[in-house]
Amino acid sequence: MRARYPDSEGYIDREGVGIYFEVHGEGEPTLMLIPSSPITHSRSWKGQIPYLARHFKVITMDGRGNGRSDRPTAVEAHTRKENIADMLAVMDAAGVDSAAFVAHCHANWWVVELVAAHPERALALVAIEPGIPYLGGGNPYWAMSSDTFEEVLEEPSGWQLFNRHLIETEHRRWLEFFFTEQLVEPHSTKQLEDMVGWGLESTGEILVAGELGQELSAPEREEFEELCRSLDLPILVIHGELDPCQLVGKGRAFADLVEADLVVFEGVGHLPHGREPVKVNRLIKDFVGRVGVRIEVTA
Amino acid sequence: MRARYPDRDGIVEREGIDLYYEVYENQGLTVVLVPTTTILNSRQWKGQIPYLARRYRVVTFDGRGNGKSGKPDTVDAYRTPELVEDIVAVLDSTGTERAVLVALCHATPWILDIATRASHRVSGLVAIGPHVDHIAAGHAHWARAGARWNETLDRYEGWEMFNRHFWLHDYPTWLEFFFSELIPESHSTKQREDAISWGLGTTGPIRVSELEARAQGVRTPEETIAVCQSVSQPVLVIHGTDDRCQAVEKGRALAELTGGSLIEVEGGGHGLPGREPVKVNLAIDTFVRQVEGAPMRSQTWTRALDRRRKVLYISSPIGLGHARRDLAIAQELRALQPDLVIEWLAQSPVTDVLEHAGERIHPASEWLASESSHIASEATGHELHCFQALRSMDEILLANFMIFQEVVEEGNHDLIIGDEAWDIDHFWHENPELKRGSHVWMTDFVGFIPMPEGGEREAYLTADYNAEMIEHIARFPRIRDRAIFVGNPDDIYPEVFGPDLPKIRDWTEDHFQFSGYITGFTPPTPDQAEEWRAEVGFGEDEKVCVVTVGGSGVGKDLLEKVIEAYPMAKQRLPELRMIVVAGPRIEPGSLPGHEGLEVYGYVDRLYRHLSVCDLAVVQGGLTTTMELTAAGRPFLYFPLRSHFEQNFHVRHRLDQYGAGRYMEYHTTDPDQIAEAIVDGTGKTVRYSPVETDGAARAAAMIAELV
Repeated sequence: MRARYPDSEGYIDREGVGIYFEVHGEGEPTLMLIPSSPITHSRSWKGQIPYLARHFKVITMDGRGNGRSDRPTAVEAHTRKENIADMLAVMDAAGVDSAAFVAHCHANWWVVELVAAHPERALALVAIEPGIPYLGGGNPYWAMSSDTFEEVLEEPSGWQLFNRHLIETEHRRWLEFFFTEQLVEPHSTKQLEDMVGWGLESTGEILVAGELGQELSAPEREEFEELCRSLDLPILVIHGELDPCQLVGKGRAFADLVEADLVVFEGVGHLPHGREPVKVNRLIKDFVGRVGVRIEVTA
Repeated sequence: MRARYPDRDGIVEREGIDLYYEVYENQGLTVVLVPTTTILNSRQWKGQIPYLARRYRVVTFDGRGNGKSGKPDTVDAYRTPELVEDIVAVLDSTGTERAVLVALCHATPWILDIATRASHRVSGLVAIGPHVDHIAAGHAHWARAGARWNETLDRYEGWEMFNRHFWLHDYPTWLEFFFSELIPESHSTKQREDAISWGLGTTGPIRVSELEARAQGVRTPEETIAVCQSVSQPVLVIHGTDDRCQAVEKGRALAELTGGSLIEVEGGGHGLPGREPVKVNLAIDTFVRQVEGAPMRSQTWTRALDRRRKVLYISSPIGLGHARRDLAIAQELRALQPDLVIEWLAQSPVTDVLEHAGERIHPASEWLASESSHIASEATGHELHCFQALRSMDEILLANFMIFQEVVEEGNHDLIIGDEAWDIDHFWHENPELKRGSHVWMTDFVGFIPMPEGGEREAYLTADYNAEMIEHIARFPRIRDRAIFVGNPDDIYPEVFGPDLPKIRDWTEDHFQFSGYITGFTPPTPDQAEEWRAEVGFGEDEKVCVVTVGGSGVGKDLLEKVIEAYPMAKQRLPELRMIVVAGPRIEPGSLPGHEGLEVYGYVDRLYRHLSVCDLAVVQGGLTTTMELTAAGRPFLYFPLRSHFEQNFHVRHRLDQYGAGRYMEYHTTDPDQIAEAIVDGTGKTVRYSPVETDGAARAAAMIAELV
């Protein structure tokens, strides 16, 4: 049983791909909780929704490729552009002109591009472990394993598991490895089970398509930094100091570039919203609450 | 002494009237605290200024008719437009383009006026107990009294004192009545005294002029409602449900009409900034941050199981004795729990001792307002009315509490140890929802005792303070996780807390654990004593008398009197050697000299000298007298006059040990002191032994909490 069920739910059809979303609660402003699909889906916000929905209208969605949304397999179906169009379509369908976004990992890249292109639709951004390119440098494991991503490896281990062939044939093995690495905090068995379970609702093939689609027509570094600098909305960055997926230096650099508030979680990995939900919930509530008032004042 | 003084102040003249203003500089946002003139002045915000000024730029001023501003006496001078223009003039002359305006009572319409007519200058409004006509029914007592405002009555009772003739003849009596009604909360003696004293910053005739001008300028109901509705800025209303000046319905209506937020203080009266300063400060701060979208400070949050166990130790800076015993306890705590991180929130002179010991001093310590300077400023000669000094330290205690609260909210301390940290204990009982961590309260005396010369009034006040403390602890036992009495049950002063209140000893035994006395050092064995005498340079044939007033700046008069006695004593006892230690706060050169008399500013590890001297002459402070008791040295002690702790609590404790010779400074002349020196020097004494395990016992009680 869930702690809270949606007040309404719906599907949109975007060029043949069905996208599922939920609406919880009421109150201003509206919050869009964006999961880092397709490796996970809207349930990854299960710790946030019941609390935040008591204060705000909360919309969450299953990104294409997981949850109750459709599962296109083509790489071209998983571009940033498609994911951005999905978010806007959900907002339209829910009758939401503008919202505060809360995004995890690479979903932040989508939101950054969404805000730059449609500033009128975003009031604020809470960027959790922002998975954005260039800034702050990446985890060397990612770079290393990317080199052998397309190869068929004899006995892959560790980060070599980030490999097309392995993910497609041993999806669970990859997910278990990956999330075990991300959950650096002791006593995280339940969070691990959750993440692996949600990941398994998709397929290895889709996950690979998601990884590749994400990078298609990536901007140059200068272009991306310029885009970040152009953002004119309040941003809160939450970043685990020990996050192996997105190093904390990335969160710091992003916060620095966009002049955001930054909260570093000591001793915490890639999944603070799952592993430290109370602190994350209160930070979001305080931040969005303040932003809400400011909008009223300047209106 | 104030908790904080302005960075600059000045006068702006408007049409011949001087307006005194104060500016507390800071980056960014400005908060203007508007006085409720003419009845009050800028000091009404004394509880808010130190806290807000650490976060924002703060401007306040004395309105015309009170404080340091001009005091015209015509009715015309007090018309509402003039009072509004005064605020604008202060904004202009302090270079304040835009601000959050905060007002109490009848200053509310003025800031509403500015917010609507010069809206670009106002980013938000805070109205406390707002007095806005027409928006809701007012209290009937105002209407009844107002109807007879101009009548001469045979007798004036209660609200009938709201009368022009009465005000012209006996305005102070009105103030006493008025503020006892407006601050109805129990245990509010200090807040009422403050309000009356500010009310006396004006006169009856001026107040009559102001009232009559205000009555002429009242808007129609439609106009008033239109003004409220046209406020476009965010509004916060704070209103007590027991506000007998302005009915709480007015606050509700104002919040409704302006689309503002409302905080109702259940059971609160009209004087909330003084009576509930913590709540008011936090509410204003939250509001201002929201209004301005002020950035959150970047922060780090450490997950629970990754945190080191952390203690925040607050050692009272009043007298140096606490520092020594607290260090001893900290050392014992570390022996029990080696991984403990101990941070100290402390101020001079305690920080000097702590730094010397290599302790970790929390950086927020430098923001603390000085309690020891305040105490010194309250002393005159060999006299310190320490109960009144503690009462008048209210704004400093509040300012320091607000800093402490920030420290524990950000620091995630597991345990707070307050050695006579009155601010924390008091304000956590007043605001129990703010408690963080476990809390240990330590003290070496319980109960305020009235000095006989204070008469009935002081007996009433001390009983009221004691009663509040008893009620606090009965209602919120969760605030003190441990209460440790530094001493033994027999040390407790054998009196009651006041009329109809329990015996101090019974109550203390029920609510405290007893650590025994904590000297912070081990007295020397006879062999060691000989070594120490050699080390500190006391000759075998010398009779050494050490005179000290510890770390306080209060003892200069005593030093001078004893120095005056020196030649007489020396004559009668030729082997006498007198060493006077002036301490850090008295300039040795400012003391008179005599041939052979030694005067030092600072002496390293003075306890060694005291432990092996042949006589000590000291004040009545507990630490030094108990060090001498523990070391078995003869000593004369002179309690500060009017100092209830030294005259009752310490003296009683020393009597338990049969230690020391009590002397009264004011009735003893130098000749008698000389005689007592000659008589006491080298005398063999038999005191009851002082335990040496007090610090370890206290640490064991504390360690259970971490």
